[in-house]
Amino acid sequence: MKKLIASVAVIVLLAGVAVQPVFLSGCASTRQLSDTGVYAGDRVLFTAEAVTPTTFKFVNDFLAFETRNRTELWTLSHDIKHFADKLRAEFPAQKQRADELHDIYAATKAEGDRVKLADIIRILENITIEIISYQAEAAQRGIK
Amino acid sequence: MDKVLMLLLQALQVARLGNELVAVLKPTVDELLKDGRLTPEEEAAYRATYTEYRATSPQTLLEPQWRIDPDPLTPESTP
Repeated sequence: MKKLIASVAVIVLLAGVAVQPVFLSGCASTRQLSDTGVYAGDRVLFTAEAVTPTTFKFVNDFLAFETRNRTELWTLSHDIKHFADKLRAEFPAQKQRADELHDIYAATKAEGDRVKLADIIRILENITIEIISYQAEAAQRGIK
Repeated sequence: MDKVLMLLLQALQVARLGNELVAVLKPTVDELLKDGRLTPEEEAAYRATYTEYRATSPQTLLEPQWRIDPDPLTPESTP
């Protein structure tokens, strides 16, 4: 995860993307958890609670960006709206699934539930990276 | 990797490329470079953010940016 964040940061810098501060501040810390904190050392639960709201905000802001600049972006590439529409259609269910899996794992702490939660978090992280690539494409054309 | 990233950020600042972005990214880089454990207070802040997200996100999904509109008309699709 640390490498992923660092790589994304470099990509973002090089692409000149206007990244929302929430994405950056919301990335899960790679520091060790406190033994006495609310997560009681549970890294998966902590990562889920750090990544999910960050991804949601990132998607929401990307959709607002696409709506605000639709005409210009459509001229640039039809792919950006089509990707945004895919998020509009599919992300709410993915978010709901992540929230449900969070609650299930928080209640059971079972290994199988931990794996399912980790898997959906990975999907959310990949969505963020995909959004960055589209924003980079737009930013290269001066749309920010 | 962290040191490389820091050097890159410094190089970008020197080159005056994306200074605003460097400023925005710095907290994340700083966080990546921190040692030690999160404090209970820092963990509580993450929990509070998550709790707020769970409370507010359903309403956000109803906002206009989540509506799927028809594709804009293009010259080739115009009758």
